[in-house]
Amino acid sequence: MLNHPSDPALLPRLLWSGLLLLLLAPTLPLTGFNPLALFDGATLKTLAGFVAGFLPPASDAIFLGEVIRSTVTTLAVATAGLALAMLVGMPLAFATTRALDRHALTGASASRWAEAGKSLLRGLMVLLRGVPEIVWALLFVRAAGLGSLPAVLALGLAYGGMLGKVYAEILESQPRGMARALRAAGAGRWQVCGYALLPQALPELVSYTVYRWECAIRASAVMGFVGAGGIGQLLDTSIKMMNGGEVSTLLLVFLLMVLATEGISRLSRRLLESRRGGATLAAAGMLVPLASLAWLLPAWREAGFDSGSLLRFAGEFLPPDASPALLADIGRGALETLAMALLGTALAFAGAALLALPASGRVGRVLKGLARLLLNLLRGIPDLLWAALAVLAVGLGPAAGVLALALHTSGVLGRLFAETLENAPPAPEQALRALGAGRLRAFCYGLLPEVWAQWLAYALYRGENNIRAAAVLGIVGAGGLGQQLYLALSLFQLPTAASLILAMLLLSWLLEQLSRLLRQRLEAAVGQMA
Amino acid sequence: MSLTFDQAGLRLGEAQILSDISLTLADGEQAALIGPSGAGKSSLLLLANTVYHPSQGAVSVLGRDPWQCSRRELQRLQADIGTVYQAAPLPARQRVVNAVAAGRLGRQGTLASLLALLRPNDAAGISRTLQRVDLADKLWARCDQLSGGQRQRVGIARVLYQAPRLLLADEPVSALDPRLAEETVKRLVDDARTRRATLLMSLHSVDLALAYFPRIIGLRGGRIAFDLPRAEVNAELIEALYAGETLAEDGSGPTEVEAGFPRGVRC
Repeated sequence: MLNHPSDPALLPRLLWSGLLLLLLAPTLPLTGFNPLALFDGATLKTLAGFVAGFLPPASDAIFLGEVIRSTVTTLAVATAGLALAMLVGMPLAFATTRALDRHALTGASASRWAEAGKSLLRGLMVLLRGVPEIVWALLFVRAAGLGSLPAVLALGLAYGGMLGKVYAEILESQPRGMARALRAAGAGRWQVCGYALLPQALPELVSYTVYRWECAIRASAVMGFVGAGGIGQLLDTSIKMMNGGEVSTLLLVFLLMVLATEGISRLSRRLLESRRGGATLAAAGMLVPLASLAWLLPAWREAGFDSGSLLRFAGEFLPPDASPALLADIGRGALETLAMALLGTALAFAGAALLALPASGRVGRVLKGLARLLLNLLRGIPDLLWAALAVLAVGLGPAAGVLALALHTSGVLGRLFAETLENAPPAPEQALRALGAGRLRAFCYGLLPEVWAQWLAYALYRGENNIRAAAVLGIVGAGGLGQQLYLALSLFQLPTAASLILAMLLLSWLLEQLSRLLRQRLEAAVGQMA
Repeated sequence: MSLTFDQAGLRLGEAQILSDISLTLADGEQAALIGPSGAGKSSLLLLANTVYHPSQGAVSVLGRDPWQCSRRELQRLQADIGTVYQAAPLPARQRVVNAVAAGRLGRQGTLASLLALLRPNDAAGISRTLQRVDLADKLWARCDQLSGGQRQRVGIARVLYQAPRLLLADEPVSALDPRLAEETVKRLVDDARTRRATLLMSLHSVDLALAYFPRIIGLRGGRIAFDLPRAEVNAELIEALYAGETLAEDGSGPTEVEAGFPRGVRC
């Protein structure tokens, strides 16, 4: 016993590190990402010129008026889009949630037809949310014209599929006792939902919806890149004209908007705690979408939305192109997408760890403030917007996508990492400092083991997200499947576009299954330890 | 002298925690610190291990004034001070081998320490140390797989592995069952004796203090009530020391932070 056994974790660790290196190594040639190119003289010069042009921010009255109008439109689109998504998502959730099924609650046998119908609806939701909102918007714009209506429809469909799934899951996660009792007493689906489930689940449902609204605003702000109106459209123009002053004004407005929505969403979560607050929130939830519609309608009437052409357009997608050449192309695009996401996430992990240390206040107040500011900037600007900027810096192609994902994800992960650092118990690290360990040693032995697993979990989760994101960054020219799709739609090669969208759907569905499997494994492992 | 308090006082915020503490521990001396909860025992030990800075008077440790040392000198001094805490301060997900190895971080360079995280460099020595607290089979286990008592013994193994010249222990056995508690006190006392290290241990149990320590220091209300050889400590002194103590239980245990997947990570 005393001749101690060798470290049982050594081999698995070596294997995992080897696997990671093996996966990461090909991403460099696949994406053509060359970190050194960023510091190349010519690139730096172009970039410096562009950034120098950022100052001063444009502030002439005509431009500002336009900015304000687009900002309101962006907010209105997000709100109307979310309202539509709720109209889509609520009935879907009601119809498909297992929390209301009689056979789940009372043990009666399930009707085969009803189950088949539900499976069909679930498949529909996968379809709705599997196609990213920006792709929906692109499709509507191509089919029925520019303007904000495509953006609203896109948000409504994509988020509708998402809300439907999450609402159903929230209902399923509620305690079953009350529902079971009512069902056994002969109550129907509506009655069980209204009396047993909704009262319990309402706070969670509302807070998820508010959170989605926050997401919708970010999404709505970039819809302009495909011609669907709002502040993104102004940004697209300013970036293409290399007008730095206008870009910086727009970025500032954008960041302010994101900060304000975060404030509103926090406020609404607090409101939810009191009865009167809840009533206020409900009233706002009715009025704001109506106001949004009132703001958007005149422009819609003017633009005229050709629903007939929409149907014709949809028809031309069929049948999808399945020629071997295209399939090989798609395979390459998918591989490029995966490589972008993997490399971007890995770089972001390193960046986030480096930024989280100062952001958690470990090296003084000043650096904490600066690091937080930088993190908010990185996180506040969506990846699609970073991609549009990165294309200017490193040119068209997947390298820009890697850069964009790395920047945005550093901000997201950095904030989460800083939070885990602040929440971890300080005693172990302090005890090590007291026995003479230097800062770095005390950190690595006292705090890192506490947060490391959580950092990895966050990075994995975010990595999954980044694969979805990487699939659409190409819409602004940053490589991957998105670039192929944008090209195909621009050339009106609709069958090709259909195959590409199917590939995106497949990718998204596979990811969802894989991550569900992984999470179940992880939860089981955690459960065993407890 | 290993440890000298010269009219030392400690103020934290508005509260005067300790006042007018004067005591001296010679090299190799062993003393127990007793007194009611809130008397300032833990604070006194944290003054001795240089975590707290005295607000009044002076504290010198192993012949040095920690607050006059340069950073490097202070680290070298701290490497010779070992502390056992009431609840072992171990990261939940750390492996026992690293938790014990951390005892020597003060004497090890940064690079060597970081490499040891990837591949422990003294697994044999750590395994031997763990055997002294009957945990040899837990070398590769993770701290959150251990019971509270086992974690506490890992904390003790860390200080045994550190082998400091001044050993401080803050109610090290309050989480252990009586039999194990006595054995552990005995082990720390023996370890200090064989290495001629100085030992100052605060104890909840007066019986344990009287059984194993030649010198007893009574602390009450932040002041030294008595500082006597074991033979001169009688029942009246003890009663006066603990007079009026209520059975206050503090329910502060380590709280687990769940690794969750907040929905907020998306978008």
